[in-house]
Amino acid sequence: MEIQLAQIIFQIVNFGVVLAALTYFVYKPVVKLLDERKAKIAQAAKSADEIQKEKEHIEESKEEILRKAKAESKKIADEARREALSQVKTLLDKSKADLKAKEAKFSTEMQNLRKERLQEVEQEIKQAAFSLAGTVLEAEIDQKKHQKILDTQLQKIIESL
Amino acid sequence: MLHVNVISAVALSSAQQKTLVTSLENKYKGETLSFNYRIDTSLIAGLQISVAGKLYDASVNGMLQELAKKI
Repeated sequence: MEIQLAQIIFQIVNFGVVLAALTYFVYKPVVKLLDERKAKIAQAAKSADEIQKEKEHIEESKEEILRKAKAESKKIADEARREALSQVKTLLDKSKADLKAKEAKFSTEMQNLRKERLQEVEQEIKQAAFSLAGTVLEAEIDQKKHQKILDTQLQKIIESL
Repeated sequence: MLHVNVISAVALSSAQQKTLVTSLENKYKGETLSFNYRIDTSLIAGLQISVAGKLYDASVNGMLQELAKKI
């Protein structure tokens, strides 16, 4: 078998044509397809990263909101507790003041009552004493003394006319 | 006419009545006086005279009441 140059050249040209055709019709579309796919994957990865970042941001926001809500609720609860304590203290103070006023009033009334009762007893004793004195005097004064007293008292009235 | 009420523990003697009438007639000259005498033993002793809206109390009971007020 002889090596024919023309045959070799033909084979080379033929190979080149096939290579060119393959390059143009197969290799480039495949490369293009791969590039596009790669780009899509990169885009997807980028989107995934963004979504992840967004998710993390949302989580952080959620934590922040929860933290603020907890702080706010604690503040409200503290204020409500303080307000309740203040109201209780006010009520207690008012009750104490009322009680003190009632005690003072009761004490005054008791003192007045005691004073009135003492005055009544004193008056009763006086009446009894003077009634007794009157009875004693009535028994001791005879007609002669009556006339003498009448003279004296009549003279006093005449002088005061 | 002026009414004179005389209340005494015992009856006034004629002389005492005369003294009283004379004194009151001198006091209320020109007035006609009408005397009313009454006995009230609760006065104990002495007498009360009311005339022209005035009361003159010279009874022992009155003195005791006055003393009770002061005490």
